[in-house]
Amino acid sequence: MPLRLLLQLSWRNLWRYRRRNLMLFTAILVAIAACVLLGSLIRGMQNDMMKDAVENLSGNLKVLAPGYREDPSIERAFPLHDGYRPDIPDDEMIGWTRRVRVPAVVTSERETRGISLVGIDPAEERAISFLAQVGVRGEALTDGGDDRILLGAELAARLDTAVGRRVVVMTQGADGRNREAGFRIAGLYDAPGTALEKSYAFTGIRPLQKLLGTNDVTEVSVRLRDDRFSASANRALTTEMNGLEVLNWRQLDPQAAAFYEIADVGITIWYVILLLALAFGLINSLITAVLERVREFGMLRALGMRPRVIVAQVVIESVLIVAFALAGGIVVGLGLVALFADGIDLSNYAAGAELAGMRSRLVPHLVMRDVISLAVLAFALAVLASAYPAWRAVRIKPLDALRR
Amino acid sequence: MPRESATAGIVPPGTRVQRARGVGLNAALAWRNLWRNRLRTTLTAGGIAFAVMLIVAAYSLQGGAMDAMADQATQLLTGHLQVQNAAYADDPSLRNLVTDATAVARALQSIPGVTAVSQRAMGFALVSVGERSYGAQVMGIDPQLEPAVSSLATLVVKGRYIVGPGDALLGSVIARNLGIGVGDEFVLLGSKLDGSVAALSLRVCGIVESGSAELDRALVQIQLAAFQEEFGLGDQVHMVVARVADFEHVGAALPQVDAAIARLGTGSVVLPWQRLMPEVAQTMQLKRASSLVMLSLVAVLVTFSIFNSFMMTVFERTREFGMLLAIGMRPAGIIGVLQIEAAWLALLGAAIGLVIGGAVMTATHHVGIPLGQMAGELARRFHLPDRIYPPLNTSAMLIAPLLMLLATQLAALIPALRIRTLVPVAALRVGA
Repeated sequence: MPLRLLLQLSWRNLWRYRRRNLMLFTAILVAIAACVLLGSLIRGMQNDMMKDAVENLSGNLKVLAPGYREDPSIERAFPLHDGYRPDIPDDEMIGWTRRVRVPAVVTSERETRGISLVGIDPAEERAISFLAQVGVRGEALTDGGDDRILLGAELAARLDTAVGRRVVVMTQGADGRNREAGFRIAGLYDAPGTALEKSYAFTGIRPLQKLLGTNDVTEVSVRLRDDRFSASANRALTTEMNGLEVLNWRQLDPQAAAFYEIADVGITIWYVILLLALAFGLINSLITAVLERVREFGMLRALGMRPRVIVAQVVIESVLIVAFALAGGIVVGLGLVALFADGIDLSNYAAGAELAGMRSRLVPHLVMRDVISLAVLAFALAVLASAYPAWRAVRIKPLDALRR
Repeated sequence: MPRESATAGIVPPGTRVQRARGVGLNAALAWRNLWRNRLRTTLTAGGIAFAVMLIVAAYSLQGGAMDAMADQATQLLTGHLQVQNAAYADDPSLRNLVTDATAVARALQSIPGVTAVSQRAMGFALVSVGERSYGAQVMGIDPQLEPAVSSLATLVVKGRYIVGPGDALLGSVIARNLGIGVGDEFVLLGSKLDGSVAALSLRVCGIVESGSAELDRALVQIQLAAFQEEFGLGDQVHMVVARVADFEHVGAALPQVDAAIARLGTGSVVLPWQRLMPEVAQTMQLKRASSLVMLSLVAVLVTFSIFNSFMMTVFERTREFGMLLAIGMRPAGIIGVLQIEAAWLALLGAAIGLVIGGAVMTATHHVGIPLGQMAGELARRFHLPDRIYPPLNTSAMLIAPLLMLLATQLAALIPALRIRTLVPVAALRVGA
């Protein structure tokens, strides 16, 4: 029997019971639309998480001296010649920067706190890290020679100090001896959450190198246009940075990476649960459709229709309903994603969201791969759900059926 | 179907018994009707069972994870509640002290339900070994009382807990950064309450691995008396930490604690763990809100399929209903039987769901879930223990069946209402 005819037959059968099939269609549509929206929200969360992890000074890739992560001191720095530039094509890389990052103790007139003091080139830094997006009270650093300091607003509050005042910074120099220097506060930055503000203070890279008595840097950080370039960029860096460690953001922030990966599993689990909830209704409806047509199937068999054609008919009916509901559901889902494009306000849960690596506004992010896997799962459901009804249809004996 | 009511011979005939028999008859009729289409009933009940099971499992797991998270988070250091100087939460500096700490501690201990009380002093200081210096969060604790409010004592990986005034317990990362181990000496430099220099020579008695990166990187614990003496605090502290018997009862104990502290008039405030760790409390709220959305969605989808199944039922039985109407049954009576059918269906589905869900979750409660193996890093970030034993959520076992009963009643009512407009003669002709 040609497929075209089969399709036509199934299509007409669907319309014979339009009310029932419309309900089924609606249920599947709602489920698919919800899956698309929820999937996008979870992806949005994942995206934020990766972005935060990458922008919190780790970058997609970072070059460190071996042992620096265990013992972040200037003794574990490495030289970088002036004209250095990572061997990564421009269309794969947003930017890169060199930094000197050392643990330090900062003291105001009243209080003392431990921080990470980071020597940066502000122009390069703004292209790749969170510093570009944060508000600054006072002034930002002007260039790599700026000898003022930029503190987090929260840290400044703890230190009871303000823009224009001075703080004393104590840290260990390249020769292992303690260094102390006064810094004037250029400005205070206001990052989302307080964790960053409490831990990082910034100054120009050259004055910090001078204070530490070195020309070395402690890290090179690279921000890629997309994380999928990570592997090739990693190879390039590993070759040119002989003997140094090249780490990706997953290795630098294993907690964020673990959370990122669990979100993948979470999406699949919810897809399966929602589709399973549909399975009961779908099977129910298909079986009713078969039982209502016992006489009809019996007659078709008596007229010589092959059992597998009957199976095909039931399966095609199931697949057709799911296919149309899937298409409708995806359209509605896309509409919902567009509706929530401005994000969902989570500011009531801001601190909790921060712990979970989320921002206070959750913006959905549609990933085509999820829509495809949703479609695959939905079709699998359609075929599996039709298995038992189809078997029932095949079991119908022509004579018994016609006698009814 | 019970033909005769058991009470028929005893109770004199009256309207009440008549009606009771009517309901019993309808219930039996509904139950039989349900099994006229065995497959459909099984599948619809299966859908209800699936939803009930899912709700029970989700709430049990989530409740278990939440409790474990909050419990673990409070255990490490924070305790269930703290008494602090009113200004300390916003400005944790050395000068914001709890005065008359001994009276505060005594007042806390006298409150029923409070199981452990310990005093702490906190300050920032520099720890130095040779030329190496790091900033550290120094905590003065009472070695006898502290283990009852904080699990840190159990997390010592090398050496031992604090005993005497010269002992110091260090976080594993700060010890590594300083390049010192158990038995090595170091100097602690800070400023006293009056602004003069505080300097203390200490010996590492133990290394602690708390699982919290922030603590491991900055924590130095010393004896409270030594801290108070060196930083010039007298007998004042920064916080009095308390634990109650069960962390779910913190809220209940709070008014009493508030009253007791207010009576002392020291200007101190009581902060429950939700205020001390807002991120943990809010993560719990966020999780609850998001799973409510997901589970409602499942309930709605299952309701759709119940609705569909009842619509089919009503259509198939149009002839039957026409006949019942023709022989004098009122539409309300037929709708009543259908609603009872729906109730049976919901009860059946809920029973299956409760039995399976209950059994699975009871087993899970005994075996536990090895979170540590599944998501080690994550578990640590969310203060989750390596293995959780989620208890069966009994309120979910009550709410889920009620919810599905309500949904089923609604799903049955909409198609059933069609019966009111059914014309018996026309209905009898359907499918004839």
